[in-house]
Amino acid sequence: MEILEINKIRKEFGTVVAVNDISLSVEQGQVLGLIGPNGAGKTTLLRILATILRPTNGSVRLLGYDLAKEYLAIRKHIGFLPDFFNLYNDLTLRECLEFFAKAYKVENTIIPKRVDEVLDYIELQNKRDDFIRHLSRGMVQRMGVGVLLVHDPDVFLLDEPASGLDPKARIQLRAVLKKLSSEGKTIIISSHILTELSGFCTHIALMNKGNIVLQGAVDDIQKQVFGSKKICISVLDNCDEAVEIIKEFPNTKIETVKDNKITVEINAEELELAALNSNLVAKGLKVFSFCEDKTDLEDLFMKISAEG
Amino acid sequence: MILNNPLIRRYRYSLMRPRQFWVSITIYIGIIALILFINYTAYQYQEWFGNQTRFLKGIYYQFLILQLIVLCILGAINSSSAIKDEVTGKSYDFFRMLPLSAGKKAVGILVGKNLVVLLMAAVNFILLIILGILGRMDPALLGHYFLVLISLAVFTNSIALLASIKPVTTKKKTHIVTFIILGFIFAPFLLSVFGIAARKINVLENVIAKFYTIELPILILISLIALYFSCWSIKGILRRFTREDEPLFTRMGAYLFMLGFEVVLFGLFYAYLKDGARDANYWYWLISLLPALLVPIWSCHSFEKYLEHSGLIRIKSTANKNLIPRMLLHSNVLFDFGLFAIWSVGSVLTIFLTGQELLRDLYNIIILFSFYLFLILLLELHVVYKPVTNKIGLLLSFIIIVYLILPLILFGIVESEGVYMYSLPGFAYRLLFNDADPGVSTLSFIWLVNVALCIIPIILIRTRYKHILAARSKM
Repeated sequence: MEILEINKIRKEFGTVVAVNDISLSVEQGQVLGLIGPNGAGKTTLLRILATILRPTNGSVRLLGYDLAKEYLAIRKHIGFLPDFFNLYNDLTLRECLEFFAKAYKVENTIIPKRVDEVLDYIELQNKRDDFIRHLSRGMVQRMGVGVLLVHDPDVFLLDEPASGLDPKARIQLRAVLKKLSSEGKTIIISSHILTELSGFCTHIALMNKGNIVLQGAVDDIQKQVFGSKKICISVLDNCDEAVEIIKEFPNTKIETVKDNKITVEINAEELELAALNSNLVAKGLKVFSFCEDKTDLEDLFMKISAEG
Repeated sequence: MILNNPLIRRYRYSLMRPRQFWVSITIYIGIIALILFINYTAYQYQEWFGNQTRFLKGIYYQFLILQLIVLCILGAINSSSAIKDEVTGKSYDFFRMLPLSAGKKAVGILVGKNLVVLLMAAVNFILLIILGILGRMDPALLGHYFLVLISLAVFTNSIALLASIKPVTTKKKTHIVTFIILGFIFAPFLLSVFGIAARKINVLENVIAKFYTIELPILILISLIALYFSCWSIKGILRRFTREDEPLFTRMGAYLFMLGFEVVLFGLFYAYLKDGARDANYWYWLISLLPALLVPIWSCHSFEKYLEHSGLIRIKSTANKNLIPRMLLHSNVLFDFGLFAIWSVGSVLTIFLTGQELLRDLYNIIILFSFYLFLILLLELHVVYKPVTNKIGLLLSFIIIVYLILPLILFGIVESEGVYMYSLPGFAYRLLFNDADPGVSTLSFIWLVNVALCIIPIILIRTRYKHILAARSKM
């Protein structure tokens, strides 16, 4: 089911075109990573979707609502985490969540239960009566996600959620986001820290200078960009012989050979890869590792940027 | 139910914590006790008030002023700080995202941020009623005072909130804190002074004001006018909360505001104008010129809006056509002419009503238009050149200051009678206080100078309009 449909939206600030006639669609349960360098237009796009900015031109339908006209209805169904934010320092965690629950019209009778659930979810139950000003940055970031969770939105819009966090806080936040994605929530997340999105996004849209340069499922894009798989083969000895055998195999290109470790670019299906492995073993080579070198978003980003 | 508003709940959490709450209440009770003590001492030992009724009436007026300070000053400070707190606290995006209507947000801030103030005001209201009854005051008059208090409170608080919605991100709260501290230190002394003046305030009870031909107690008239402008201010708040990036007024809204201002002001001046007072005529002119000068700032279309318009113009037109006139049709300049036209209609009416010399005053209107034209052209320069350089605002402010003040300085140096009239304030001064006719040649020369000054801005604006149209065609 299509949850978001963006049709040629454009946002201009003076003579600067921040978002240039972008069209995009997102289906329910997708985790879309918006990647791109600073100034690519990711934040502007997210702020338009969050109903904070009005596009100069174009139309957006989110959950069937027209963004320009029904923005109040949309707000009830989305959760937006801005890039630089803080919460009400003079409130406790419980009070803050209660306030947002009330504002998002969560039924009065279930608010206390909902607040408890959210605090458990973001693992801040032990801080429920602490003031927000006493939380660490990582905790505030998780609390930010908690604020979004309190009204159980259908779509999450997260703008650089891990920026400024230390590695531990980043891992904790990532765990919360993974949990959300496993529950089938639709998430649109922007980042220029690509490892933050690796293994987490189902789809990506690469943005540059206000345009979407490339978009689609991560696997499709990998195929589209790299065309072939990268295989790492490690042998205990007779590396040269192994190289010769691999070279005889069709559609292969040896990329590197170092310390008995061979990296091969190969255009083949799984069955053919298994055949190559069997062939090497049959020729008496001691293969102790044969695995696909999964391309992460960082490689993708670098490759696309270089091509762009 | 107002109290069900989530924003009120949020402020209740943060403002009504027992410790904070009791500190505020203790300070407030201290002030009340001090006022009562000073008055009682004055009554008992210095016989200021004469009898008990006058004594109680005297205290009544002091509490009335205290109420005014609490509702209109403390309340306005609170209301104006709400959005600034959100911005500096980096929670403004969450606030903007709340799925609450603009009305609920406005009520939430105005009531929620002022919970302590409203509590103080409620206590004060009870005291005012008791003192009013004991002081044998006319119940109708008590009602008038309450109406004034409420309408002024709504007016000042809504204006304060409206003014704060385009927030300043810097933390400059120290002056407010100082102001509150000074207020608490000096308030009892000031109130004592007001107590002495209370007998003078009594005069207000008997003043009847005229609005057109309707006679009204002045307190009622003040309340009605305050409520009328509160409506505009609340409308502005709602617009800001819904369309933050848009100007405060729509074009139609700006014309209606200008028209409404003219109608209210005309009503207030009507009795004087009907008597044929020349001064009243010009006072009316100049006071009603103020919104004509300010509304363009609050309703001017931005450069982005021009780009949008030029896009639409391009879609509707063939490429070879000269599009500048169509651009001008959507421009701020033409819209501002409309505001001046509304002003002119009111001003011409006053000429007829006061029986002034039509030709002479038409000259005056034309000259005022030339001043107005130069100022709105500078405003338009700001709009179209802002994306080019941020310094344009500074440069234009400097030009405006020089334009308004230089003739006055020159007048001080060369002591030539006519020089000060080349400045708008100088010209206004001549209208109000100098009956001597400067002659057509002097007036024509002022007009010519202003028109000459407009030439360069017109050329620059035209160039930018062309640039906008060209930029749009490339996108």
